[in-house]
Amino acid sequence: METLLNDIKFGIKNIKARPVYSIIALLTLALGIGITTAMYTMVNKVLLQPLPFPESEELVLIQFTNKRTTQISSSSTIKAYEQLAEIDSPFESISFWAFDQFALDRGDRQLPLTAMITSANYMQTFGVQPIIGRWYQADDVNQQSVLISYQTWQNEFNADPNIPGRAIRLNNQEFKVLGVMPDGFAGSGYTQADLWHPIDKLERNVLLAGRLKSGLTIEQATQQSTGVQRLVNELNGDPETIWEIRYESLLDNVVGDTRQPLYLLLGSVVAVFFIAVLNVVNLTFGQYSNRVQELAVRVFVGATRKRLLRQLTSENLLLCGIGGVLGLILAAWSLEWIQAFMGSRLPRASEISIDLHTLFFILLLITVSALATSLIPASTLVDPEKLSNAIKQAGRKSTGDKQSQKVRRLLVGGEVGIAVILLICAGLLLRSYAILANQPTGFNSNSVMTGHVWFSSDYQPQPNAAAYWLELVKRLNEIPNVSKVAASSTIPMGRTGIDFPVQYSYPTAPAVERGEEPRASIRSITPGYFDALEIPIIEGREFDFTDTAESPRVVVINQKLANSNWPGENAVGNTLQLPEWLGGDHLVVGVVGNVKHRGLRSMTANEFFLPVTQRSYPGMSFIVKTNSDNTAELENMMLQTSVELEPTAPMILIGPLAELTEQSIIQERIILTILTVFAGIALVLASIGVYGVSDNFVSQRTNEIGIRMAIGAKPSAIKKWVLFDTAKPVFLGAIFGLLLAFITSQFIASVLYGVKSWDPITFISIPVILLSVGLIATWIPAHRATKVHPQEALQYE
Amino acid sequence: MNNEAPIITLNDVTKIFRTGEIETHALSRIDLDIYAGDFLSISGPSGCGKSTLLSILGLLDVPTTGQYLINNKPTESLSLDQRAELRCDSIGFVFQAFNLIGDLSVFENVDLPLQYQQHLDKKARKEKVENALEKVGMSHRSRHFPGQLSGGQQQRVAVARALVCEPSLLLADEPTGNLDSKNGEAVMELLQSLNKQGTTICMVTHDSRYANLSHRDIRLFDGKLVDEKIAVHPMAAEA
Repeated sequence: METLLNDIKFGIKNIKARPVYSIIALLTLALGIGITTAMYTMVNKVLLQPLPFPESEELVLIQFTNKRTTQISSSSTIKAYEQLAEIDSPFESISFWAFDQFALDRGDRQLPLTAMITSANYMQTFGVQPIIGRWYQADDVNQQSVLISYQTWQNEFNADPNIPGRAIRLNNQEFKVLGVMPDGFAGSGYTQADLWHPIDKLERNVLLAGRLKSGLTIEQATQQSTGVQRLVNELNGDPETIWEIRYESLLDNVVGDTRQPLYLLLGSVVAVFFIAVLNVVNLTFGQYSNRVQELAVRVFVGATRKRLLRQLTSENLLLCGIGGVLGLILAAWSLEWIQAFMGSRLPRASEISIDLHTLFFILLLITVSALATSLIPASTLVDPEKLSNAIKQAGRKSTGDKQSQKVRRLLVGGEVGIAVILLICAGLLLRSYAILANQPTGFNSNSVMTGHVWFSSDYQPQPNAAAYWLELVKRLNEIPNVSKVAASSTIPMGRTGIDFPVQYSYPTAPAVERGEEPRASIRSITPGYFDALEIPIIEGREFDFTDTAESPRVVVINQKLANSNWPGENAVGNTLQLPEWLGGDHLVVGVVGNVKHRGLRSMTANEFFLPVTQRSYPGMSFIVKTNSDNTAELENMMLQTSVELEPTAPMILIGPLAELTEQSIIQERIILTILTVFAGIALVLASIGVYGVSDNFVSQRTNEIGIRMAIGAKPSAIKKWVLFDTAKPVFLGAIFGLLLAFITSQFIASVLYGVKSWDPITFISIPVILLSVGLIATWIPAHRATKVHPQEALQYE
Repeated sequence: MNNEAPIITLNDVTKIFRTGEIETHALSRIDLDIYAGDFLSISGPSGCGKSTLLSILGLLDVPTTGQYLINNKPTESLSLDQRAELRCDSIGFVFQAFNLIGDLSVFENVDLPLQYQQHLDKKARKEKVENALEKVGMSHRSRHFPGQLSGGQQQRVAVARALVCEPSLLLADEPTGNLDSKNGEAVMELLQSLNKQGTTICMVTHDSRYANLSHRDIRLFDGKLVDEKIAVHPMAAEA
C-alpha cells in the first residue's frame, strides 16, 4: 500500500514536472472518455435499459401484418378491443388509446393540450401510479375525468397538491382531475401527452397495447394466439388469414428506427476513444524515451521489471483517472447538449442521465486507458538489460530504440486507419444528406405558414365540417399580407393529419388477388390548394367552388397514379372507383405533379384528392402564403382567427412549411452532425498523433541529422528523409483504413440516400484530405529538422 | 615552407559565441594554411577551441570574422546546399563518438554519403563502399550493425564512411577519444596509412602521443594559435 502511495505521489510529481505532456494527455483522454461515456449512456438508456414501467418487457403493441404485401398496420377498433378482452388470450390485460386535442380554458385564452383518450384499464396495464391522486377506473368512464401530466400540473396549476378532485374546464365542459402522473411518464405512444382521459366509445381507429401473462415471451404469446387470430379473421371477414396478428415489444416500438443510427454513433465514438488512447500511448512513448536515464538509475539501484511496470501503471492510472473525471464532466455536458439538440427526435431523451452504469463504464475506460498507455510503451522500453546498456553506452552515440519506433509507427498507422474509416462514413453521410436536402419536393414552401385545427373529440362541438373549413380559409385570407390560403386533410411533410391508403380500382384495371388491391393515399382539400403550394396542374383543372356536395363526384390524382392506371393516356375523363364509404365512382378532372408528402427520403405515393365539400375530415392543416417577413405576427393572427371562429379549436403546430421540410431529414442531419464532430475529432487527434511521432522522430534523431549533414546531406535531403520516414505509416494507415472502410461502409448502406456505400468520390477525396493533413503534420517537424545546426546536433545527447 | 598553394586557408579567423550579453571568444585571429598531403594535428586543453576550429574547417560552422578559403575560393557566401555539396565531395569526418547510425548496417552507413552524391548508380556505389571497407579492414563485417561491433571496429567503419567519397580533406575530432590504447593505436595506424596514400588529415587530439605522430602540430590556447611544431612534410620525406 505504501509503495502504491509512493508511486502515486511520484505520479503527481511527474504530472507537474511535464505540464505540456500532462495537459495534452489529459485533454485527449478527457475528450475520448467523455464523448464515449456520453454516447454509451445514451445507447444504454435508450436501447438497453427497460422502459420505466413495472415488468416493462411484458408490454407489447398489438399489430397486424398483411401476409401478401408484408405491410404492418397498428390500427384497430374499440369493437375489436372489446372482443379481444373477452376471449382467451395470452394477455393479462389489453388497453386501447388514441391521440386527441383538448382546449384548456385559462380564462383569457384557450390552451391546446395533447390528450390521450384511452380505455379505463390503461393505467393498470402500464402499472404506473400517479404521484398524487388515483388511477381512473371503469366507473370513471363518461364521468368527465382526467389524469394530468406532471408538466401540466407544474405549468398550469402551480403544482397545486390539492388538484385531485378539482374541476377544470376542457372544451367548454367541466372535467374532474383524478391525479397527476409522474414526471416523464409518456405511456404507450411514448409521445408526451398533457392529459389522459378514459372513454369507451370512439368512431375512429385506436391502437392496442397489452401486458402479456407473466413469464410469456413474445414468441410464446404468438404461438398461443390462435383464438386471437381467429377473432381477427372474423372481424376482417377474412377466412384466409390475410391479416396476421403480430406483437411488437413496446421497447422496440419506442426505439423505432433510432437503433441503427445509435449503434453507428456508438461504434464511431468507440473508434474515437481508441484513437485518443493510441495518441496518449504515443505521447507516453516519447515521455518514457526521455526518462531512460531515470529508469536506468532505478534498475541500477535494484528495481525489477515488474516493479518498474507497476510504478508506470500507477502513474498512468492517476493520469487516466483525472482524465476520466474530466471526461465525466464532459459527458454530462455532452448529454445535455445531445438532449437539447435531438429533442423529441430521440426516444426516451428525458430519461437519459449519468447513472451507476455510466460510472462503471467510465471506470472500465479509465482502466483500459491506464493499462494501454502504460503497458504498451513500457513493454518495449522497460527492459532492465536495455536500460542498463543505455547508461553504459552513453558515450557511444547511436539512434533511438528501433523497436519502440516501430511500435509507435504502427500505432500512428492505426490511428490514421481508424480516422479514415470514420471520415469515409461521415463523408458518405454528408454526400447522402446533400443529395437528400436537394431532392425536389414537388411544391414551393417559400413564404408559406402552416397550422392545424382538430375537431375529433366527442367533447367538442362538431360543426358542419366543410363549411367550417371554408369559412376558416376565408377568414385567414383576410389577414393583412396574406396572399393565398387553402386547407388539406394532410400537408406535405406534415406531422399530423389524416393520411392512409385507400383501395381503389378503375374500369380497365387487371384482376388482382384479394389483399393485393392497389391503394392510394387520400387527401381532402379546399379550392386553391395546388395554387398555394405551386403544385403544377399537368392535365385538366383543380377544384373550385362549383364542386359542391351536390355536384357530381370529382377527383384529382397525382401523376404517379395517372401513369400507373392510364399509362400514355389522358387520365382526365376516366373514372376512379373508390369504396362506397367514399362515394364510389369519381370522375378524374385533373392530374397534378408528384409531391414528396412523407419526407424527402420517401418515395412518391399514389395519391388522390377530393374536394372538402364532398369529403371532409374533423382535422385540417392550413396553408397560408404571405408577403410579410413578420412570421411571429402572422402566427399570432392565425391563432387568433381560429379562436375567434371557434374558441375550443385553437390552431396548433403553427410554423413555416419550410421548417417541416427540414424536419423531415432532421434525423439524418443529427447523425451527420454528430458523426462529423466525431470524425473531426478523429482527424485532429490522428494529426496530433502523426505530428507527435514525427516531432519525436526529429528529436530522437537530432544527432543523426547532424551526422547526415556532416557527411554531406543537403537540407532538402534531410527534409525528404524525415518526410518519407514519418509519412510512411500515414500512407500505410490510410490504405489499411480504406480497405476496412469498404467493409464498414456496408453497415451504413441502409441509411444512405442516392450514394453507394463505395462512392468513389468519397473513397478518393477522404484519403487525399487525410494524407494532406498528415503531410502537413509531418512537414512541420521535417522543416524543423533542416534548421538543426549540425555542430549542435553532433553534440546532442 | 611548402611551395604549393594550400588547399585550406584561414585568414584572421575569429569565432565568437554570444549567450545573452556574454560573449565567448572561441577562436581569435587564427591564420592557418593546410596543404595537400598534410597530417595536421590540433591540440590543446579542453575548451581551447579545437572542435570549433574543426567545425569551421568542415563547413559545419562559419567564422564570425576573417576569411576561410578552400582551394583559394572563399566560403562565406556559400549557401547551405553548396556547403553540403562541398562536404559531401571534398571533406570526410571522423568523430570521437563514431556517430554511426544504429539502424543502418555497416554497409549502409558507409554508403550513406554516396547516396547524397546523386550522380552515382547503385553498382558504382557498391564498389566504392567495398573499397572503403577493404581499406579499413572491415569488409567481413559489412552486414553487421554498429551495436554488434567493438569500439575500434566502429571507428574503422566511421573512417571508411569518411573516405568513401574520396575527400581531399579528412577531419578527425578526437578519433581515439572513446577507444582503449590498443584500438586507439590501430586507428592511428590506419590514419597514418591513409595519409601516406595521399589523404590530407586534420585531427583534433589532446593526446600528445598521437599529436606527435602528425607532421604538423598546432597548439591552441584560449582560442589562439600559440604554437606550431613541424616535423617532416610527407612530400619532403618522399623526396
